[in-house]
Amino acid sequence: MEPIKKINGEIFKKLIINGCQNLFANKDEVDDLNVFPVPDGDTGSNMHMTINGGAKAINDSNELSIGLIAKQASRSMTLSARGNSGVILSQFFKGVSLELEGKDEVDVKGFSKAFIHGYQHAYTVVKKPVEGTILTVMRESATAADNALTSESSLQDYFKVLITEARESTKRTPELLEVLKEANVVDSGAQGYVYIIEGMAKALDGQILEYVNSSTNGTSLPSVDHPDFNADTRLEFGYCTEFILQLMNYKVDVKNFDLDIINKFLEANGNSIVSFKDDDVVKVHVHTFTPGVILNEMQKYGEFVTVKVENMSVQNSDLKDDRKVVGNAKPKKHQKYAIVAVSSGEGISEVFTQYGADVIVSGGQTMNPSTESFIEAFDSLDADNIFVFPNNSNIIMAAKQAAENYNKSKIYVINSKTIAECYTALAMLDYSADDPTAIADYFEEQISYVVSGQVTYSIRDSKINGVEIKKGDYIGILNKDIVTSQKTKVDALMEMLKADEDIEDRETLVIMFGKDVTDEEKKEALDRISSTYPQMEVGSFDGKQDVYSFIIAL
Amino acid sequence: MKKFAILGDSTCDLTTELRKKFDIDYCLMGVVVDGKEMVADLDWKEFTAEDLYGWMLAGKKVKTTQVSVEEFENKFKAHLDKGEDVLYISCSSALSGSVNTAEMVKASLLEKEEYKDAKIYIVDSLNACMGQGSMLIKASELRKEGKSIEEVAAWVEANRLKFNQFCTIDTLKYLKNAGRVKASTAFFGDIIGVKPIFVSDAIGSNNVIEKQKGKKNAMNRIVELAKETIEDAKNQTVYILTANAPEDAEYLKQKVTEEIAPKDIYVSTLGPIIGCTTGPKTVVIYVFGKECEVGK
Repeated sequence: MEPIKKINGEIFKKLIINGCQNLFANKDEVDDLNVFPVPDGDTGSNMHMTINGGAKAINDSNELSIGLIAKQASRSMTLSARGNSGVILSQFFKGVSLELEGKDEVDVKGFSKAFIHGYQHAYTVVKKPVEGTILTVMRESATAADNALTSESSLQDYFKVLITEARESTKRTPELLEVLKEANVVDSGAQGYVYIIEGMAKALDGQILEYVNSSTNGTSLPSVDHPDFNADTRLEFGYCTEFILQLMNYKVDVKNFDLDIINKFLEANGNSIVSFKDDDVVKVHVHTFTPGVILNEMQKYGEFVTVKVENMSVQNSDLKDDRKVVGNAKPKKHQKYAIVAVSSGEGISEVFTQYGADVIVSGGQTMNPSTESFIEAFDSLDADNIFVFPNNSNIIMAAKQAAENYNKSKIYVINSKTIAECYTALAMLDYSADDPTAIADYFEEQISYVVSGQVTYSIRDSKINGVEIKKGDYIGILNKDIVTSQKTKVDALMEMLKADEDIEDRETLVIMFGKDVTDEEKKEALDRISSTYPQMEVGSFDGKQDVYSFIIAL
Repeated sequence: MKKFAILGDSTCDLTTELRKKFDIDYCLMGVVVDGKEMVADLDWKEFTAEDLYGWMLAGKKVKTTQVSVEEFENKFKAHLDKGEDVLYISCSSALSGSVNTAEMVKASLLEKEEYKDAKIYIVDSLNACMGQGSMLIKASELRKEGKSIEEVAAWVEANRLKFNQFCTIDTLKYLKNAGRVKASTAFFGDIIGVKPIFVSDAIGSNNVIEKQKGKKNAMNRIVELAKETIEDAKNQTVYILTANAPEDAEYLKQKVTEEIAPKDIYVSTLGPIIGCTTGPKTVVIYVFGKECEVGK
């Protein structure tokens, strides 16, 4: 391809889409660049979901100005941002778009300036920027490429330096971050970023990667797009039910039929009602838990022209479809305080709801919810103040980004970083201070007392914290540290508890059983805990979570 | 001055020893276990505390009944016939209907020619257990000082919110079943390892004010609350009651000695009606001090 000196919206669009597609092709590799050898890596998926939001938005756009394309892309990325690297990536593009604002096209220098502004903006959103991460790579590569520019440089020249430096910078990440060095991996977010800019460069070489909506092709990420809806799911949202009813003269007096008769019934059995009568036809939209009851009743008055019933808990995975399908069939009640909690595992979600969470956003370590899913959750409430309980450090940023993009309620993101912390904060739920800041402080205080433990299995051989880990072993993680690796999950649990210095003084222990735990293992775990720590009050429930055999809160 | 009797009821949880020492009588309520009615006397004559909590843990249907018309008539008359007036300090009206029955009995008795000069005073304690019990003791002390029935009744009425209850419990199940606790929905679920703390509030309801993680934290907290509330501790008696937990009582006693250092610490167990309503593992402290502000 000819050297490019001017970059307009059309080229920028190709860059983003190519970057997105190239990351998609390599995202599994990025997912596996996980510090802990546990099966929960998701950086590649998160970054892809983030940039894919932008790619999708501009793919159909006919805009030609780079400023507008960049704006559309960054706005959509902000909403679809997941995970810390995703949020940082979305904010990088926000910075880029701010620099490009109002411009139809830029020269290579202008483009480079936008990338500089991009990394600078990304740094501002991270409270404590950590070097040896995607931030470092964004900064070093953009700076080096900018320094190498001459008046002759084409965009291809720019990308050559950008990529070379980004690869080198990524290789250096283990030198900057001890945890990476110990695990013998490079930073996953940094690697994801390299794939994105490599994809961009390919576009300049004429290797245009067609935008394929990755969530509709065969190798997509069903677990990311679909909240589980399975044999154990509780129907949370009901059905979006729409129909057109032909009124029948042999059933009713069509001419004088009063729509109120239908509306009264709909109100008693659902909400979000839209209905109208046009001559002898009635059209209805309603959210209900019992579509059958409504449809049967309606047949007293006529016959259906069309009927459509959709389960609102099953999120529509087709990203081309812009309709919001997650809604809440329960009537919105005005609340002074409400809680949005992140949960994975049916059992955990149920307990969270029982303890006072108003909305559950599904997600966790392996399925980080996007900024947008938080905003949807906020929208499903009518509350003055909303407290958000993430369950993973990788979710807090997306939640905070959602909070910043929301103005209908005051949002307080609590720094709960584990399911155990989230559990405890909810267990101790208390609004009696009746002051949102005081309540948020109270939650933070409760969390500070929690010791979290998790048992999961290893996906590769490793050595961390002096713990020898064999693939397939069960690993005990106490707070943030891997403390033991054992052949059986219950052994891992017991050794993990032993690693807690104050275990002899702990009074309560709550244990959540994962999907993989058998009844015998549950019994063994409970028996061994109560005989080893007789002073402890032990409670348990089936959390039904994936990945983690045991989650404990001390 | 005319003599007067002081009466409580089965919720006042005064032992025989204290009732004798302070010359306090009481009206009996009842306990119904799987349909079988028994008398809830404070000396556990018909059944023991172990029996009661055993039935509850076994899931038997255990209910309580308020003081009957007949019981009030008998008890009031016994004193009136001796030429004494009657001061009845009742279980909180938010917890029992006894106080209304008593008012009814009072009206019907005073209509009678033979009692036309008698006086019956009825004061709603807005409390129960040793909150009510210590109020009765205070009334008795005032009587001993020579105060008239009017003066004693007025004092109790004016000072009843100074008798503070700080209670923690393993489960709200029994109180909930009995409909005798007020708590926001957030507090309602039984939460593993989390203990509610409740007071007898300004209208005499059991009102959950906060929760604590673990029994020990909860017990420490009720001592702390008691300490914040008590006035003139060195001249006060602190009452500690438990359902059937001598270790908890011992722990609390030690804690109260260290933290509050009152003149006396009185340790006892819950009577049949209170035990039946709150369930096993209840621990509670009563202190006299600042007025309870909760629920005002």
